[in-house]
Parts: sequence; structure tokens; C-alpha cells
Amino acid sequence: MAKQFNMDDFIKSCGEPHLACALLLDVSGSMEGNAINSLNNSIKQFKDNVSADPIARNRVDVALITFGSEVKIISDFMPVTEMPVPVLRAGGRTDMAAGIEKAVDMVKERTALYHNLGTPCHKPWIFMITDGLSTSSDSAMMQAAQKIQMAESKGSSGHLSFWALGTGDYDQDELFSLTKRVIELKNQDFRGVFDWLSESMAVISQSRPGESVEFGTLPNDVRKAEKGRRIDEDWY
Amino acid sequence: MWVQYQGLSGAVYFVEEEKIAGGGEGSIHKIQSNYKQVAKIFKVNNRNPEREEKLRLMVSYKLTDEQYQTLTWPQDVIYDKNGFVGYIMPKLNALDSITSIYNNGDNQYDLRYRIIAAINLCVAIQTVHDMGQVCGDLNPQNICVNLDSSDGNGGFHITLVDTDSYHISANGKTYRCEVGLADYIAPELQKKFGNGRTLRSIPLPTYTKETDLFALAVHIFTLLMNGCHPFACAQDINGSYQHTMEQINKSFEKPSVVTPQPIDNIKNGFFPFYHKKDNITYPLYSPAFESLPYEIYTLFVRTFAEGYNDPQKRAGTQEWIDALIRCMGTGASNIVVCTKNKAHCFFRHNTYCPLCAMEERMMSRWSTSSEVPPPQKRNTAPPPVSPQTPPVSPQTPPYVPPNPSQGKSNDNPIFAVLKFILYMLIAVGVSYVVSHLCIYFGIL
Repeated sequence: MAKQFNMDDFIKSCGEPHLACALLLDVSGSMEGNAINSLNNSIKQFKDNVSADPIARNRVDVALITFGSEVKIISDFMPVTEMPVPVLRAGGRTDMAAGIEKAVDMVKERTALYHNLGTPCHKPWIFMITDGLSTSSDSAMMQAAQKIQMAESKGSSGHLSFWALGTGDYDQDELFSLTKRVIELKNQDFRGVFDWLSESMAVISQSRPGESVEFGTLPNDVRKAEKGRRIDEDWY
Repeated sequence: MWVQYQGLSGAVYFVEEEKIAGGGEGSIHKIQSNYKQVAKIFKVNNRNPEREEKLRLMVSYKLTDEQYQTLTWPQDVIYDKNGFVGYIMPKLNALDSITSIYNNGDNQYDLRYRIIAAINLCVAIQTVHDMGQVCGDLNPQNICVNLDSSDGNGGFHITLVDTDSYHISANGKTYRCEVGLADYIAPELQKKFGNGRTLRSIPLPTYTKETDLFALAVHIFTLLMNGCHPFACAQDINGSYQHTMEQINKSFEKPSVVTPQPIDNIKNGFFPFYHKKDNITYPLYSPAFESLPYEIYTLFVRTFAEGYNDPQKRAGTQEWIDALIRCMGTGASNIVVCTKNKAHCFFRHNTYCPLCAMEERMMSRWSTSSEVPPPQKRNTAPPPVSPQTPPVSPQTPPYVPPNPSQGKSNDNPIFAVLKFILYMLIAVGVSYVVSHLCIYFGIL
């Protein structure tokens, strides 16, 4: 029997400030093996960590989107405590542009919901993870990049924080053409970076006035990417 | 394992090494054969003379047993052989944050309990003010409520915790409260932030009795208004979700039309339940402001609207207590239960259930959306309203809120210019007629 919907399935604690976070995940063929297994485990750990925080659990809404040969919405935005823990499988091409288009649209839609309800909200996040070169057309990538930049740059603080995490054979220039927030993971173990992400979600969702949000330090196997520096070059 | 500490009072405390709870600054521990108190032990780098001095000052205030249940106020400062380590305070019975009263899907704690919690919060803050001190950080995590009605007190008692962070002054010296949550900070203080200025660095005064009264009113409002923050607002564009989606799409390209956040509204003195602005309405999950008794309504207007320029206008703790007791009525006689939904309680002056009206308003907005299915709330009576049928409108509220000058449509400069031209034309016309009449009667 189909379950009846409850308001809590869509949004929890309408009166508290919300933070939307879309996880945009590369499930193309190159992710097969350890990478996809680690990603699956890390998503669960992310959910558990944020759900364990008494304040963040009511405020953080998560969507899961994957891109391979096609874009799939694993789950639309919902309270972190309600999000599914999928078992993702890798395979196919890397249609990054279509994934980005979908994620930005979904974030816009979630923002519209908050504004309609009158639910206070923080700047939403899209956290993209990729390990390879996009197979989308150049014009599609350019359009996707424009879409991100449009959303990131406007308004006093912008309407979006787009993060790109590269691992393996990712293309640094490609990610920098999307956003300045590029970080790179040395190995294919996503645990540390998801710990950092869940901590950041908790920190932002409870941030204080006049003090800029202090993110935790990135784990040892992750660093801010700088143009022209490859992963193994001068790593630590 | 037990560790022995010496109290400032002369008492000796055997404190369990294992902590009950931990935080950023220190941890809470049990005390041997003492069920009324606990010890807070600071981390080594937080044991500074400034903190010790503040705590010594705080323990010099002796409270009654009842007051110690209202405030986890420091009772003794403790030392080991190396010096200051922490303090002793009453053990907390109330454990849930005040938000658990309204952040609860099933809406289990009705208006009566919310009013009791609001009154008890006033009493708790009044206790601090009566000592001549200021709370400062009144964020909901520092306000605990006892949801257990079988504890002999009837439940819904409020206890303020983390009082060692409070804003304490004596003998010309102020020990600042250095923390706070933006949504509970009064505009006069809010405006001082920015450019790296924080509660630690901005010049005194920072927190005051008036900023406490602002935070108190935010909590009372949130309790009475279904968990809605008084400065939250929603986008209102022809009432349609689709339309808003278009606006949001535009807003990603153009920054102007995004709904302001509570912190912006606090800073700008825009109280969305009272002030009017184009395309802005109050949140969909809140009942109408007019569903509150007039006396309560005016206290909010004084605190949030008039208090923006004059913080002295904010309602005091005793005013709130008196008004809340009156609006509850003897034996809660002024609170009625909705005939359609027993979970809804509201003030007697409403001729239509404000919570039913709220749900209908929300349904009518959701059902115009093609993207999102209308949520079906458990245990709620009203069926989803079809897009064609207008929502059942609630009865006209018994009083019309005064229309404040801010944001009135005819405040538009164009109206002012048109008005001016009109007056000029009239004036010229009148003087023309008068002068001709004067000439006619040969006065000039």
C-alpha cells in the first residue's frame, strides 16, 4: 500500500532556517570499483553525521543526483533524516553538463519552495564529485558553466555555492571553468571529504552573526586545487 | 574515578572523571553523593583569570531553590592544586530545547502549553533582570523546557542554561556575553556587526535588558504562532507557486526579487506581519497575526515595530506575564478547541479556527503547483482545495490592524508629486476665485 504523504516528508520545521545541499555525483564507468563503493558508504556516513546533529537535522535538506550516460534524480530535496541511502552503480559516459543543468534547476525550485512558504534559508550548495573528463558537448558545458556563474555571482552573496571535487583523472581546467571552488582528492576514499561536508553543513546551518563561517580544515587527502598544480605534485 | 576539588565556599567536591556531556569550552560531570548539583570543568586553555573573576562574581548572588531550578546559575567556583578549573551549578531537570514544543510534526503541545512555556520564560528572564544582570545569548538551545507533565510541577517549566556565558556587569566592569544567534539579536546590536566586528570587539553597550526583551518577544511569538519567526516572510506573487518559480528563475539572473531573510528584516525594521510591502506576505505555516488577542498583538507591535527606533518601547517581562495570563483566562477559559480538528486550539475571539485557515491557505498555494504534489497532513480535517475553488476565507478579524506609514503605496514619490500638483492647482484656483471675488466686492 502506498504510504500517505506527510508534511515532514517534504520539509521539516518550516520556521527554522534551511540549507539545501544537492549532491551531484559522477557514476560514469571510470568510477567503478573502489571509488563507487567508497562513495556509497560515504553517503550513508554523511546522512548519519548530519542526522546526529540536533539542530542541523531539522535544517539540512539533501537531494541526490547522478550523471553517467544520463542524469538520474535518486532523490529530490528532502530532510536529511529522510533521504535514501542508495547503492549506486558505475557505468557509461560522463554527461556532466546535463547533470549540472538539472542540479541548478532543482536548487532553484527548492529555493522557490522556501520563499513561497516563508521558510528562512541559507545559500544553497551543489557539491559535485567527478573523476573524469565530461563527455558533454563543448557548447553544453559552456551553457552549464554560464548557468552556475549566473547563480553564483548575482545578489549580495549570490544564490548558490557550487563546489567541484575532482579525483583520479579529472580535468582541472574543466572544473575551474565551472567554479573557483575546486578541491581535489588524492585517493578514491571519500570518507574524509564527506566528514568535512557534513561538518560544514552543520556549521553553516547554525552560523553566527558578524563572524564569517569557519569551515573545518580539509582532511589530509583533500586540498584546494590551484591552477597548474597536479595532484601528486607537492601534495602535502 | 573521582577527582577532588576545593570550592570557594570551603566545600569539597568529589567529581566523577567521566563526563555526562561535553561542549566546546568544557564538560559536565556528576558529583559523588550529590543529586542536586553538577560540576562544569573547563578545558585547560579556557581556564583564564577573567573567567574565574566572572564566576566569583556570579556565585556571590544567592538564589532561592526555586530560582536555581529556573537558572543553572553558578553556585561555587572550584579549584585543584594548580588553580581554577570550573564551577558547581544546579542539576538540570528540563532537557529539551524550547523548539521541541513547536518542532513537532504532530502538533502535540497545544496553545495552552505554549502559553505556559511563554509565561515561564518571562519569569526566568525576569529573574536575571531582577539581579540587575543581562542574559545576552538567548538562542533556543540555551532555553530548556520540561515536557514531562508528570513531574509534579505540571511540566513546561523553563530553565535557562549556559548562564556562565551571560552578560554580567558589576563595579564598573562588564564581562561580555560573546555569543549569540543572529535571528534573536535586536536590530540596534545587529547593525553594529560587519567588517569583522563581532560581539567580542564592538564597543559596549552590546547586550542590554532591551536586547533581552527583543529575544524574549521572538520566542513568545514563535511559541504562539506555530513555530514561525516574527521576521520571516514569504513571497506573494498573485498567490501562485508557478508564478513564484518564474520569479525565482528571474531572480537568479537579477538579484532584486528574492524574499528577505529574518536577519535582513530585523536590521531594516521590517516586521512582515504588520508592515506591508509589495510581493511580500507572512509565511504560509503561520496563522494570521490578528488571531492573537489585541493586547498581545499590541505588545508585539511595540516590541518589533516601535522598538526598532526606540528599544525602550519594548514590552517588559511583567507586561508579558500579565497579558499572557489574561489572554489565557481563568482555567484557560479563553482558549477554545477547534470543532473540526481537536489538535487545534485558538483564542476565543476568533470566529473561525486560525489553524484551519492557515492549512487552507497553504493547500490553495500548493495545489496550484504542478511540480510538487500537495502534501497530505496526517490527522487534519480539511481536504485539499481544488485549484478552481478559492480557499474558504476566514471571518474578518475583529479588529483591523492600524496601517503603519511604512511602505504604504501612496508613499511612492510619484504620488507625492501628483498630490503636490493637485494641491497647487486647487490653491491657484482658489486664489484666482478669491482675488476675483475681492475685486468684485472692491476690497482690493
